[in-house]
Amino acid sequence: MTPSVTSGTSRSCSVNSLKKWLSTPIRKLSADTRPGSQKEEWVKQEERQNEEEEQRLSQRHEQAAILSADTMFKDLSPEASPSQQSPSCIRDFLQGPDSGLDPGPDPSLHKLRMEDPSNQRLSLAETEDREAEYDKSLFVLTELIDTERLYVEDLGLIVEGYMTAMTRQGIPEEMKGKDRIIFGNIHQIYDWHKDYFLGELEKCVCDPDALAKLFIKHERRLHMYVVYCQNKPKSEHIVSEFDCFFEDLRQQLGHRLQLNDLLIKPVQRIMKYQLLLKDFLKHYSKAGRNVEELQRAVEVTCFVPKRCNDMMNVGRLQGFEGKITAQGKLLQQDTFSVTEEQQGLVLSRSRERRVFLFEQLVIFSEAIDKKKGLSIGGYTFKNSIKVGGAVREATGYTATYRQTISIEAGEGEGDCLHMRRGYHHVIQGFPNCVVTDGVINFFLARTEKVQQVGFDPRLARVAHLEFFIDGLGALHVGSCDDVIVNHATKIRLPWISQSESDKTYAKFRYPPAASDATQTKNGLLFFKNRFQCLTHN
Amino acid sequence: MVLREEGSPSPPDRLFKIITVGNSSVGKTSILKRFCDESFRPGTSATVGIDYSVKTITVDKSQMALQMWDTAGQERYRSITKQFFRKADGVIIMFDITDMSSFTSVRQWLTSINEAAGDDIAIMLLGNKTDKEEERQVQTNMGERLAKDCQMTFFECSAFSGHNVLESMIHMARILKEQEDREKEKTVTLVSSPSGKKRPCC
Repeated sequence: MTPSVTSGTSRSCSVNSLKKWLSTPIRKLSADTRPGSQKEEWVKQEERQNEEEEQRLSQRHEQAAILSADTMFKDLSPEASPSQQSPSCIRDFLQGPDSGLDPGPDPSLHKLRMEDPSNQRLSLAETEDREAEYDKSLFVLTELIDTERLYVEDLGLIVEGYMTAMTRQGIPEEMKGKDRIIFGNIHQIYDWHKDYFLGELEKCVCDPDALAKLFIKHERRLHMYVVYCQNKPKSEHIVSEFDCFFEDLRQQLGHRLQLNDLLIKPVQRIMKYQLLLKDFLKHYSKAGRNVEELQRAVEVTCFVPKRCNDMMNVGRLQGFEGKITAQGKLLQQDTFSVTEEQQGLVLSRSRERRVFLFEQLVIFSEAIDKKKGLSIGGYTFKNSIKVGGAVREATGYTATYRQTISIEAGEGEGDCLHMRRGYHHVIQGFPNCVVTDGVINFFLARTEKVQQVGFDPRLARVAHLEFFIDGLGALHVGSCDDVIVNHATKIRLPWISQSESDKTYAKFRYPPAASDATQTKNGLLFFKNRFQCLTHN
Repeated sequence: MVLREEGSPSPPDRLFKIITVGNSSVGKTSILKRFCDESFRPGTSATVGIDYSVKTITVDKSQMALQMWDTAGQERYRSITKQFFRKADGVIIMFDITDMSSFTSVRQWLTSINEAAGDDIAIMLLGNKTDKEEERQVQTNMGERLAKDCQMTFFECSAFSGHNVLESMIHMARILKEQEDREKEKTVTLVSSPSGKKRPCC
């Protein structure tokens, strides 16, 4: 470390850097397989190289540190805490674990780094790229903090401005009782961001790894935004009733923005975190840092506004008799064209329906024409379907897939296989379970029965249906919709990048139609069973 | 950086609130930066920054402040975004001429706007990134046709080069001004309103 390790302001930073430095996987000592004598020579050689490189790097880095300090903090307001602006602190965090800089005052530590062969794997150019990416990630972090500070100021205009003024001066008689709805839980949001979150974000400048943890740790707390959003449509309605009152107050307070424009700030802010974190993740990952926790943090910042969004609409659903909170989590919602169908016959023309998919219920509702009634807008309950499932995807979607399989005898050319969604009958005594011919992904059966059917070794990975065709007549499959098993998802979440193992899995599990695996599978299926066609719905 | 200046010597006659919408990375933030800040910054610094920025322009001898609201990052949260339309005077639906899917989404954006906003909201369709002509996927006549079908004005522009950015905004401002002038003719004003206020209040 630089001598500043003993100075008060930068101590925590330095210790953190050191910890990170020690715990970064790339620094771990790997077993050296070389014979002892050669190893010594190699270490000496590397020490020489390292010393040279280090000199060069530290010269370059000195400049980089000064430059970055200028560019990074020029936009900071004067209130920025001194610890942030401490140059030694900046230098510390600019020296990422891969920068190959000062190994610290401890000589044994120095030795440890010198013996690390992985150090040599990064060329100078790569090191430079990584540092540039690291700087970019810090730039995003600075933007996050800057905008957070402005956000707190804006919230202050509401809480210290409007709310205080209204308490002091009183409110119109007809507003009494409604004022709580106008502001919702904004006071709580303001206090938390002002007294806690902003400070914690500022600390992340010295320890960027803490950023992910901060968001993960406060996932529950961030749900105060869901409450805020749910209330927001009502709030807006009331504010518009008292347009003039608030306009007078705005002029009196000397604000540029109207109250409505300020009240929307939390809604905007909660959607911004995901943008910033994704950007931070992008650069941090290119800088060669561990981003596992960051990915989780990005999920949190995507999930909270999604819930806000969902609950805003559920709050507008009217006419549902049941208890909406007893239907499990709201998983998805969207507008669809819905037609009723029975045995392939369309019974009605398609209608536009807002569909809410809860864990245990699908609700169909109709958008209320805003021209007819109040302009708040909403949905009228129309119908619902109870859902239960055997499979739950990582996205939270739960579904049962039960199929009846039948074979229609054909002439010389072969038979036809028909698969239909459905089952034969409910199992007596087990109202949630049915007998069916085939399921997807998961089933329980007696071992000897499964052995009797057997698995075709040529269909090792792609053979759901084939197995059940082989077992037709011999194997009775039970499927219970209250037995839920988690399963990998086919739906790709846009904010989660596919891992290597996911890619490998997909390669074998979903081979392209033209591939050998698929052709073997189809050829075998048709040949073995003497099929000429296959239909399914 | 956050833009908050209203750089005009005299207070504007009118204030209009305009929301920009469109799929992710069509260039909403970049257009606002180009229009309000007269700059283009690729990459990191263009990420978030602004909730809104104000630009004062003079159209037909009348000073107008355009309060431009950015919805970057809100693309996936339609119910929330609807909130913004309700108080807006105009909406700019943006798409990227090099990305067909962003153009296909325009109709969905229109549905959202129509569900939430009043009938009198002015809508402009804006195809961005004309500087990438060689990657174009959406032909100009497709934009023109859609705009005609849905009664919108249509422009193609480039936040990168600045092409047509000011022109399209001036056009939008003029529509809003004329619309308000028509409204005013219908209204009997009892008390003269202070300048800078949009609607006569109380």
